[in-house]
Amino acid sequence: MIEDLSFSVRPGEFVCVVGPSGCGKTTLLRLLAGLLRPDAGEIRVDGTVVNGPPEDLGFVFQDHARALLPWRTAAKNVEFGLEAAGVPRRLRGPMVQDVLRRVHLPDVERLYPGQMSGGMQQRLQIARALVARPSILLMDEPFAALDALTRFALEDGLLEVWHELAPTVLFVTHDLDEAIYLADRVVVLRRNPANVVREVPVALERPRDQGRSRAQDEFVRLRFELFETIRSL
Amino acid sequence: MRSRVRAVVLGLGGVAVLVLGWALAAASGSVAGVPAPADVATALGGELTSDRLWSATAHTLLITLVATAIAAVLGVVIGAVVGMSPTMGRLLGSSINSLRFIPPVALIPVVLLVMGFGAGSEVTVAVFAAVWPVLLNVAAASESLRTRYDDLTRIARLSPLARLTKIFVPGAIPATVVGLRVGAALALILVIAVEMLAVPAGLGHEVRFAGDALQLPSMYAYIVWIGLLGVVVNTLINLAQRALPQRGALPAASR
Amino acid sequence: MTRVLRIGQALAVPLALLGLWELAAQAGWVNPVFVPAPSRIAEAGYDMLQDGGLLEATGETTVRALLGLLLAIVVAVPVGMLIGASRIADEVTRPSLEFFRAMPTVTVIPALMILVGIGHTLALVAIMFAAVWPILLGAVHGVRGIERTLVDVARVHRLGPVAATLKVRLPAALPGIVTGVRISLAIALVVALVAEMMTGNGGLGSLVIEARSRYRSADVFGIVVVMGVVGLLLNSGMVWLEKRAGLARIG
Repeated sequence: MIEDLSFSVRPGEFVCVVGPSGCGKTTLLRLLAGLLRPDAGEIRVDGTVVNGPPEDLGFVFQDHARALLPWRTAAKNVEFGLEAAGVPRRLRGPMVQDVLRRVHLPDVERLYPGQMSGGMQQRLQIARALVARPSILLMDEPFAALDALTRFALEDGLLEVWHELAPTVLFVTHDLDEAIYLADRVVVLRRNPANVVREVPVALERPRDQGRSRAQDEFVRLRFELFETIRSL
Repeated sequence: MRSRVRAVVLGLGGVAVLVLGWALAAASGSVAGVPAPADVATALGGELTSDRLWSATAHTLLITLVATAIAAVLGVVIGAVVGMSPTMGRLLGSSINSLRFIPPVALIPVVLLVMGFGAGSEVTVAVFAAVWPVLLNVAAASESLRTRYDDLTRIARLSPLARLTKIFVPGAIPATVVGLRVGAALALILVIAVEMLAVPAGLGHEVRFAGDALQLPSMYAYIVWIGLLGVVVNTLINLAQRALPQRGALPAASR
Repeated sequence: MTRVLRIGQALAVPLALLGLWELAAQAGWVNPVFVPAPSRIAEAGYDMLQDGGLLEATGETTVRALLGLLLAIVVAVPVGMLIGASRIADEVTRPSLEFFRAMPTVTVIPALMILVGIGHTLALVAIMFAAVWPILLGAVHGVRGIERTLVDVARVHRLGPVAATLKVRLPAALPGIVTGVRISLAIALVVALVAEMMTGNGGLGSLVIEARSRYRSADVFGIVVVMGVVGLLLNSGMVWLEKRAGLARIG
């Protein structure tokens, strides 16, 4: 389904991937994360072939309710990211505290995911993905199932931790507004065969603001442009 | 469809491996007291043409069926009463919750004492085993129906009769079937247990009798036959459950 | 006030039934030789407790049931998880497992009497044989039912097979396993009692058969009450363990 697709991302850049449903956005992300093997050919990141999930990678799944470990408390869920990375036990506590503070989840350590709202669960998943300080963060429509206000808060929270920790972010979404609001650059995919049809740089100044940024002419222009591009596919 | 065939072939392969392992164990003589599968098959073949197996089967199945039917009626009525009326729930809850933990086999000696060594004893013990899953499932379903559709019944001004026929009966059917499924299996187990222990009739008695007479192939033939019967009963109830229209079933009580 | 009312409501029916029973036995509406009055049963139970035989038998039956269950768990959980991990293994074993699960397992007791003799191991082997199947199938279902996303979570975290099993698969499969254990707990007690009744080798099952053969009806009823208490306690223990393990949160 995906053939000969390539695009470049600068270190520390925030790139959003949009496209019509079925264009292989999620497949692309899973290939990059080493969760899927290509039927033929190979996946390269920075020239290195991806053979299974690489180190130094964080992944945020869309379905927060299923991606968290329901039998672990919030703190233990975040710690999972460190256990897996082989961080010694005595170092984990402060790192967990630190990342939970950064995603604005203080005082939840003892709650279980089932006791948290969807928005909190997704913050928790972001904390787990970032706790080991990966240089690449892959996000698969992470906010698609949240209500609008929660979604705004999470977008701003994400931009904040991205600014502080500076990972490279590849963010898949079907929401054009979200893509423009978050990204340095928006990559548009098409289907059959999946390919990059456009790459649109976003020239909105940072830090962005849900009210002001979305009201700027540039935002409206980009939105129109991206919409026309996708509609023409 | 292909995967269905595949599953059947693989499953039969697994059974074949199991029987082969049994044959090897019997042939090696390392396990004393285990007849070869071929001997058991011969014995089963012999029994299948005899009256003994069929009359024992008929006896055991009939008792199981009667017990399950009685348990169904009792379980549905008591369960519905307990689930639909909070007062009745509080009045009867304590009795239900102390009686249902008595292991049904514990009743065997008491029942024998009171009712003697007849079919009545078998039915009584089996009913006591089979009634709880039905009762608890129906009670849980009726209670959840009552709370869930309370507003609806009041807005629609349903009469008590309409409430029963339009909400409780259709709503409680899936839970009843789930309860019956567990209950029928329990009834079969208890009928056989009573027959092995006391009542000289049915399949349980034949197993015990063959064992006491050291007719090993015949005993194993009956054990295999009972196992197959268990599978048949289970499959029939599964089919019945699937034949029900797929309505949005309420979550059944898990315990 | 409502609390008092509630307790009153809870006690009303059992007390009324017991009262009626007592009256029926005292007045001779039922034959007190076969159906003794509750007061007689309580008296008999107290006597049996005094001479220690009842407590010993209760302990014996409980330990047997729990030990057999434990052995079944130790065998069934790893095997079930291995089977559940592979679709082929699941398909190969499914009909055989369903056969043993659907089979009324008490029927194997006569065969086991010949295989392992009428010693202490008989009840244990019988309990284990009966209790292993629900747990095994529970583990298989538990593993087969693990969300794809959780498997992916284990993979992106680069967990090895052992770590993935211990940290993700086992806890995720636990609800299925516990469902199996809950069924097996009831089965274990039933099989323990049947085996004891058939062999007369200690425990409440032997005690009750002995009492019945001597027509000590009050003793029989008293022992049955104790069996009910054992069933209730084992079940409460299970519920308590489940709460402690925080299974409600996983649900």
